[in-house]
Amino acid sequence: MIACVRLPALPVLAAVRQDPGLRGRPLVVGENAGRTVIAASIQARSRGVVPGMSLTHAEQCCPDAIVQPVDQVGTARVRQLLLRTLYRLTPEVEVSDAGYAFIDLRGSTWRWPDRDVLLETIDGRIRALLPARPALGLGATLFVSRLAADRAQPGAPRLVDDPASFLEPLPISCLPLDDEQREYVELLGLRTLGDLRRIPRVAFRRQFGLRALRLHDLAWGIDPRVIPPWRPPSRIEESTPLDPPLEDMEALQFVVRSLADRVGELLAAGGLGAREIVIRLDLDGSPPHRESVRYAYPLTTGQDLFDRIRGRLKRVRPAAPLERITLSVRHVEPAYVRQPGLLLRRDGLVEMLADAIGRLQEESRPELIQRVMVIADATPVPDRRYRLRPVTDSP
Amino acid sequence: MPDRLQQALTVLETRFGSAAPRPAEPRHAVRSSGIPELDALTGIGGWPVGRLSLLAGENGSGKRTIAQRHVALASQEGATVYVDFRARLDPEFMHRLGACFERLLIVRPKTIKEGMEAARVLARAGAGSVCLDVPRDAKGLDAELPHLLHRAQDAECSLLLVHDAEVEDVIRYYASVIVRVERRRWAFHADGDLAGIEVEAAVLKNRMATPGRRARWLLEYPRPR
Amino acid sequence: MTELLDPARRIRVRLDEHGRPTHLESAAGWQPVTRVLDRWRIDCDWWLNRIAREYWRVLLDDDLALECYCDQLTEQWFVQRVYD
Repeated sequence: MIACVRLPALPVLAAVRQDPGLRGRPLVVGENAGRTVIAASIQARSRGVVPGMSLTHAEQCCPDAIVQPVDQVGTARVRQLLLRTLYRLTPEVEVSDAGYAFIDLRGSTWRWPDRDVLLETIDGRIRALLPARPALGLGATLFVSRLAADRAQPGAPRLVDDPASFLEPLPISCLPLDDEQREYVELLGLRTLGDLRRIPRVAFRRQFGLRALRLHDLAWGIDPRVIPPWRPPSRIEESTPLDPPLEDMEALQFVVRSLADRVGELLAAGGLGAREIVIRLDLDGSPPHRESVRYAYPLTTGQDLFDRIRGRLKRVRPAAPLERITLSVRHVEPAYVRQPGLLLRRDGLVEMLADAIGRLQEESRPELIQRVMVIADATPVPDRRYRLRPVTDSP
Repeated sequence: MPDRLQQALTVLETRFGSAAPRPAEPRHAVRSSGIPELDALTGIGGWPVGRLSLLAGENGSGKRTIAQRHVALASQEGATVYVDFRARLDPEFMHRLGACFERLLIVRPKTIKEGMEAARVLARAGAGSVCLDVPRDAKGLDAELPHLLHRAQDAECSLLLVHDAEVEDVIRYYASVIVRVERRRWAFHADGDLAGIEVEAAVLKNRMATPGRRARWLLEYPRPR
Repeated sequence: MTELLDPARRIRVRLDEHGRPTHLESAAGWQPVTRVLDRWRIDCDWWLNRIAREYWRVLLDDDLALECYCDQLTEQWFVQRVYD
């Protein structure tokens, strides 16, 4: 089941967030260079303003419209806010600037057995986040859920259990038709999705071509598109100045431990794990020193992160006293419940073993643990055909 | 066990001490050595899991061939560690023995302590079998062994120690099985090339089965694959 | 099994009139080659880092089996494998 959340277009939401006084007013967000409408509030749309029309035309349709330039940064922020909020339900989320957010709920049924509670939760979270009331639609596919959302009212979700009868009376304009197809459909006198469905698939293909078969499928509620999992592009970083500059690497361990704990807290708050951490040491009067520590799988707790950082720091011999230390997470992934003994990597090692190898190599040197590589096309002498190479971290 | 039988056993134990009859030991978990003659010799079907086994013998006695056969077999079943203190492991012969290189981890430590720590961490992380190929002068091995043994017991990992020199008493104490190997003669192919060696092995110590058994067999060197 | 010496260790060898090794020098002094088990030649990679070796598998003093080679380019002898 896929939920579709219908909201005002994101540029409109960004403008209203910036100036709450605009809420409920006929707002038109345009692009100045092309003088075209990018998005319009419900009030402006009800007067005939549609995205893509010229700003002059929009002003004629709605003389009291408030025209604002598009705020790209604000729009991106609204998109990120929405994705982050919905990401707490499932990683399979997608947001379009037109104001539709899709959530694939198929993996969430065990967590949210009661659908009504889930819908209320989505509604509540979005209302707490943005100055708008969302309308929710539920359907088996992206297409059906979006049409359901279009026909839902805020506070009254529309659930489509039987897509065939739901789609039957809907106008043909619901389909993503190009100009030529629209013209042809009108010529054939097809007004509803039901009309289109009555044309046999083979005949439809003959008339409209192979690529247009997708329209026929959509009219039947068949939509193979899936929502790819979203990854939060977060930058997690913790830093602390060392005053007076520190020379004792042992003492640094304590500072790093507390930094790792803080990074761990930030990760845990976002339900995230780190795959790589960069340690930056700012030195007194010398260029900064960087070390990168990679993990076999996403780690979240400060203790786990610190275990590997400690080994690396033991080997660092800074050229000058340290003025500042910074830990930044480079690769962030959704954290998962660690069952290392069960996870088998592509190289045949269980995760726990891979992690132990990484830790040992970190603390001494990569050559401590090696694996034989057979170079099949090398000269058949033992020192050419067989090579020992450090076991690498990447699976 | 019925109460009356238990009472009778208690009486016998009071009178005869360790000579009194006692229940048989439960079957012990083992990993095959890859050599049927040796599996039979240990009395339990291979090297015991969670315990230390010791393979001793002079240079050229065939003990490393025996150990590496076990390592090759174990690598086919799961992650296996070869702690190569002497940095002399021959990958080509491991290949001929059918080792799975994906799962064979070769540890090349600079010190005994480093090698033993790596073995301990890897045993704990899930390696099924650890083979320690120690140098003649293995100072500090006795101090590190109990820690490794403790991990191996918890992690159900089999430990095999290969040693050239005369074994110290402490190591003898920790080992559950001690097998001493001697070369009896070289064996040759019809074309005159080396085919293997005839070895004679004796179980000097065995905590799981009767010690003192001896066996002699032809230990063949594997042909190129 | 065998121990691989990587890199191979240089040794001194005494040869007979046919160029066959008769004695090898070890820590214990000169030891006689009691049996030549096998010999073969490898000459390849001539276009890049050429390898030209004559390998000898020998039994030393009836006690130790070794694999050694003579590098044909430098005429130096090396021991590469020791059987255990």
